[in-house]
Amino acid sequence: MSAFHAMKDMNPAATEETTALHRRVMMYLDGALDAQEAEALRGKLESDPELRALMERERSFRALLRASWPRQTVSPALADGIRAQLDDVQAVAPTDMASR
Amino acid sequence: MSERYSIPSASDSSHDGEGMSREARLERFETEFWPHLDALYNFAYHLTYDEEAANDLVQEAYLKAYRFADKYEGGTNAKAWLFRILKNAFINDYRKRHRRPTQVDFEEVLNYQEAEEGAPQQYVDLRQELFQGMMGDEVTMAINALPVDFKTVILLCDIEGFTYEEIATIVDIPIGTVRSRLHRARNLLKERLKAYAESLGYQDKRRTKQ
Repeated sequence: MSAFHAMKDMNPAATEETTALHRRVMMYLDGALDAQEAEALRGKLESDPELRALMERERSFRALLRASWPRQTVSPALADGIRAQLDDVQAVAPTDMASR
Repeated sequence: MSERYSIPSASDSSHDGEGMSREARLERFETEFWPHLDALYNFAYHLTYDEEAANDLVQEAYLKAYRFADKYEGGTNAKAWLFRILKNAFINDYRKRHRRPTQVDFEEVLNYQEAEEGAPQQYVDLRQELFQGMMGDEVTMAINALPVDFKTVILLCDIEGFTYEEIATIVDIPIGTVRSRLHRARNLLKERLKAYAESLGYQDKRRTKQ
């Protein structure tokens, strides 16, 4: 049993500590840890295969999200419409734009 | 709020863009703003769930970005700047439609109330074999069923790759709230996928320790 899981069986405070550790893994994957925190977490990951496996599952989950995210396609009419209006804006002298 | 993300407000309607030549504005528009059209449209569609409304929002955001291009610090983060303009345009449109003269913030628009910070949440560990066969509609449906505020932070972080700081700026919430909301959103999604997998007969046989 890894230190990561053994910790949770010892006392209630361990659950809080485990939650904090999970949060750090999430933040690590989000690129939200500073260099020192990231280095400390990498040390834990190296010594704890279960924590490492958890991180890999989280990575897979996020990859699944990206692959399944419903993307909408921009219509050519929208792009053309924006450009057409841009031309109108350009045709107006800057001093006249205040009244638009 | 960082100055680099300073954006035009509704009261800036008289801005004439004199701080920049027309050519320079057009150059900035083409090179820094236009490449984000797809991402911006997806954000707009996600907010409105209406193709026409999304088109109007994107158009409004781009025209405003063009007009206020001199307010944007070139080479910084055009994508975050554009997302914030669009989000504010969404709020302004909402306010007009509902004839509300007072300030309306994003949280009100989304009718979102919660005490997110300070409430520790357990991490939901979704076993890989439970979801690895769900590459299709099940995941998309679970995503679409998320509350819009949860879906927004997942879209901004996991799909568009914004940092916590950028998301906080775009959505106008503290960084701590970004972090906890992301956590809750991902957990909610995992719980839904897990429930779906279990309805198909899959079971997570690990010991439950949390």
